[in-house]
Amino acid sequence: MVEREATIGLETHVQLKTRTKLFCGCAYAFGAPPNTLVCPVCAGLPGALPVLNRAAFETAVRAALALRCEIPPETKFDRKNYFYPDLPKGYQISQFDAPLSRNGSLALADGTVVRIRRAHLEEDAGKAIHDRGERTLVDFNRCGVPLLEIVTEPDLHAAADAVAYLVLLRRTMRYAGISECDMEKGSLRCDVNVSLAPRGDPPGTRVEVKNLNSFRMIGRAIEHEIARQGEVLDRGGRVEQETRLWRDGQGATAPMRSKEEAHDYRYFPEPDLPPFHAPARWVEELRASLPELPGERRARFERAYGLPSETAETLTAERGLADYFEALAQACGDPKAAANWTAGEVSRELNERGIAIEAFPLPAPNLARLLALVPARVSVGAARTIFRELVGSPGADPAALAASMGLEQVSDPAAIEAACREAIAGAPKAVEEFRAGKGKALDSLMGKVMGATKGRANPGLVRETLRRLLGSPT
Amino acid sequence: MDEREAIAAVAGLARIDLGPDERARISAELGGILRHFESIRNLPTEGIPPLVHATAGRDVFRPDDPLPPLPLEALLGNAPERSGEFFAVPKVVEG
Repeated sequence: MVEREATIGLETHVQLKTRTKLFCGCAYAFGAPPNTLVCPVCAGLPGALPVLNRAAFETAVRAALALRCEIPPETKFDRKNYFYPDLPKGYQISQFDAPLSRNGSLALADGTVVRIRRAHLEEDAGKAIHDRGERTLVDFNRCGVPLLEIVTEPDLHAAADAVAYLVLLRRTMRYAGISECDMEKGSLRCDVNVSLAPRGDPPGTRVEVKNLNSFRMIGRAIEHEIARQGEVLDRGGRVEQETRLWRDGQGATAPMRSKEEAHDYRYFPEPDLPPFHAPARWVEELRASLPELPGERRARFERAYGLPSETAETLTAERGLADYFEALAQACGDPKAAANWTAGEVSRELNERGIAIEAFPLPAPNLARLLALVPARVSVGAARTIFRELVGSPGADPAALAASMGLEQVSDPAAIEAACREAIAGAPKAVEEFRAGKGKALDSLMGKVMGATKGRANPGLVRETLRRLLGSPT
Repeated sequence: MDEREAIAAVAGLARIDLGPDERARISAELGGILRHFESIRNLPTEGIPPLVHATAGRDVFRPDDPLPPLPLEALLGNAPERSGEFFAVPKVVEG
């Protein structure tokens, strides 16, 4: 059987974080009552004229720069003509042959470079609801909301890589303050193109898949589509060039009913908008305003702090979390401990409370004061207990809390020896096993001492004392 | 695609239902327009940058400041049919 390779391209729409729409002064809020955020411009009333939102243009160019795109000195808008009830004007203002950016790239953690063909501005359509009664219902609120369409070159070959690209794209957009990229609220949407061909051959017939509402669905849909096309080719059939919809309940794609002419958009230059310019100096100012982006930051965390790549990946998922880690590392002077605590206890607390790091009550410097007590004055386990208390009263002194909670580590040799002797007396079997050379038996004795001291005994000292009492060299 | 097919295709895209008389008339009119463009196409344009826009204006922006939307009743007042707060249109089946 021939070995085949899949080729995947992605078209992603991210909704820009502006106060108003792309061409009019309407605000937009997801979930607002229907048809309450609409004006003559976005409703397409006769005589109304679009005027470009400066912030949307600026945000789009910043996003393109975050994706390492070239910004041509001049750009223009075009009309994409089609009829659908969610498009009141009968055309969408988009960009056809002079997009505001081209030729970018996004480098994934494993070194894969995904080339960005172009990123352009366009307005969103409204929302058509089909499942309520005899009529289709239309809400124009979303009409005219600014979107950046980001198109990759077909550089991806596996579902997992496509998802990795989207995860990094989402992070990059969030770091740079371009978009919330919340798929549940529609501020990030993605269509995929999948084709299959014998390895080494040019890519096969492209099938576009739509209706993908989560990263999980995107991964599953790509895998399904690769398998489906493989079966068609195995049977000696031909893959149709078509658009298919992902049916998540069935775990399969199905052809979308559409006429061929639906793709004849008759683009022409938008006569109601002049051309727009991106002066080189302005572009450089925007480039300089970008923060360190997640891909770069992950690489720096590995290099500068010696963190494992998985930990660096976790810590750079959100800009705020990465900031917290760096503040903590600086305050406590121990990047490894700071990484473990940020990725572990802090993240767990955020998940449990359902909050973002920005809303986390405990400032990094005060957590650092707790970490400074480990392991000399409190054990790691006790520190976790104190941490939960500290989150509730973030101004408290960690050392005072440790004392008041009775969690200060016991390092008094006499007290520890007493506890060790008790443990040895109570577990003759473990003692026998240890003396017979079974080193693991020491763990069970350790456990008994820690249990008797409620986890407060200094573990190093306990181990040392047990070995001494059992007559084994430390 | 011959001229008649082209007119039928564009009429279809524009959702315009043309009768036989109208097709004949439009065919003649469009033919005239296309011939006119043919004569323009013959003008020497070498070295002249393409014109993107008919006006000399450029970079016309609007500040990102919210303006009040239309009241719901004013907006839906233009609708041939409504259903509650929505515009209502003939059923469109997706997929």
